[in-house]
Amino acid sequence: MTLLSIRNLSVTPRPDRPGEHPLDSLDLDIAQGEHVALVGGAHQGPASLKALLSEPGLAKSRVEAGTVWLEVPDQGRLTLWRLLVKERGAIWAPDSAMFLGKGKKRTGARAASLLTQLGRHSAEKRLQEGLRRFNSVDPHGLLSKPADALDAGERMIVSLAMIAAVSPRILLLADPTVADPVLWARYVRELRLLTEETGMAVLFQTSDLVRAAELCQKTVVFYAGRVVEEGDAASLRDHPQHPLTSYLGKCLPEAVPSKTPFPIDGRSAPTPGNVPTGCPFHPRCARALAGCYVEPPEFSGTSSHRWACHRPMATGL
Amino acid sequence: MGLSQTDGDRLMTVLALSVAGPKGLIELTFESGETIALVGDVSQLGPEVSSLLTGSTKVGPKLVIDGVSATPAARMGREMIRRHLSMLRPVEEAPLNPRWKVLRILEEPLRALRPEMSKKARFETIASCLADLEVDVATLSAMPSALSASERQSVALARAVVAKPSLLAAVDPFARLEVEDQARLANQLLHLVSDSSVALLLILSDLAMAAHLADRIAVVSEGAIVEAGSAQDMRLIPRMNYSRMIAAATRSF
Repeated sequence: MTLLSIRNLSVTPRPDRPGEHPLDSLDLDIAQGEHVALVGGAHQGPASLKALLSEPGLAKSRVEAGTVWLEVPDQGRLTLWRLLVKERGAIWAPDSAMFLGKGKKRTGARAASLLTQLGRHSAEKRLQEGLRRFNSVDPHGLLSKPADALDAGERMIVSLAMIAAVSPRILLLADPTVADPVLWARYVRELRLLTEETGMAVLFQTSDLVRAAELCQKTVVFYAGRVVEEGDAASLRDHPQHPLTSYLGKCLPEAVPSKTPFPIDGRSAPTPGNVPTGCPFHPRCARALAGCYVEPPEFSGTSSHRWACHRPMATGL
Repeated sequence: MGLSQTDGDRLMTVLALSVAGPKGLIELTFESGETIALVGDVSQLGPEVSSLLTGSTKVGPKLVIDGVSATPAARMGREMIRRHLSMLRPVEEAPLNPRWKVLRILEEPLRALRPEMSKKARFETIASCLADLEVDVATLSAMPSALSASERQSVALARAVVAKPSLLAAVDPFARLEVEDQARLANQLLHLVSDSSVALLLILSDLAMAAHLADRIAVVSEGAIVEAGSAQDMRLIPRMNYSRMIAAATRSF
């Protein structure tokens, strides 16, 4: 069942965040329990999407065109702005994925102060329930430790318990969540189980295609406020079609032999005022031909994997 | 790059670092220009290395250079440590004064550690350091707040190596950088160790990146080294259970 549907959405740029690309005719459908990775750098579009979903009151005035709605049980389809009135906490976008930050405060109190949507008393109670769910031996002891004293594993469990306590309909996560590979594997497993149970959808903002494929079913790659490639996460990792996706894949340590430099191009993405004509990626693209300078590419491919490129990787040189 | 004039042409022979883990000392011996990565459960080690520099722990950590041992307990020891050891931290903890231009930020370690340098020599050293790291010299006149995360981390790296330390300790340097910027930083670090005699200590949890950059890898669990070996061995035949778990969970193995 579709949980969130975005159609042809364009927003005006935020004057207070000049580096951030506004969204340009975005189409996105997210099903219940689905995990979607937003790849390509926060400023390239994911940050605007996050702001739109997590601060709809502020964002409303900036929508130029398009529709956004959520399917809510018992209430039918609600626009984002209606949702804000009806149900706080339906969309949760914690600032950083490991949430807690530093401090000498008790972990329980610190976590509860971040979960304002729950209220203090019920927040700690639900945190303890959450911790029990993730097999914490001593939830009470863990919550009474100072936030500084937690190790990476405990921090991860607390952040998962915070997600379980809020149980939003849509969770917006930002990478890097967990650096340690052992913990990451557990994090992915627990988050999968939790979302299967509650039907929560996860939007995971990252730039790592491999991590995206480990956590998510679907990957969407943004560049200069537009989607350049989207589809099945594993096929984007293994068979990227847009040169940008392919480039991002080559920047990972497993893609190059050890002790050899990564093939980075030394250029950076355009700023919102200076998006090149035609395909926005053409100044950095080794495959660009004359057409790429003039004509913005249309989507091609299939419904499960599509890309906006005149000369996708599959066509060869 | 080589060591500076004041050090003559002396070649650094022995460099050893000991930091206190919860279960005793972790001792590492570097060859000149060698990269060692500590992976696994390393969250406690960063503060230990920085306590060497700040002198907040008087016992435990020490740095041995050419057989001369330096602990932060004595003033001479602290000076020696400051001269030979520098740190690179995650980008949000980069020691960049928000009120200073990048040039002044990069001059600071030279003023402190090479007070004999003239203003012109300082500028030349900084410019050549930036050129080595492929950072635009125009960055020098910018304020840190105007730079992107990747540029800030490049400046932090330049600040760490501009006074030519013997050992650069990079604690989780890739945290919160996007993959493209991580790749840029990895290239800079590779270039740095291949081009100069600086030894590199990487403390990070990402085994894939550690295996990419390091000559040797040591796996740390509960504050002690449980396994150490060449990066190649660690990819192929992790022996200890914990190392196997890490390798199995890391994607490229």
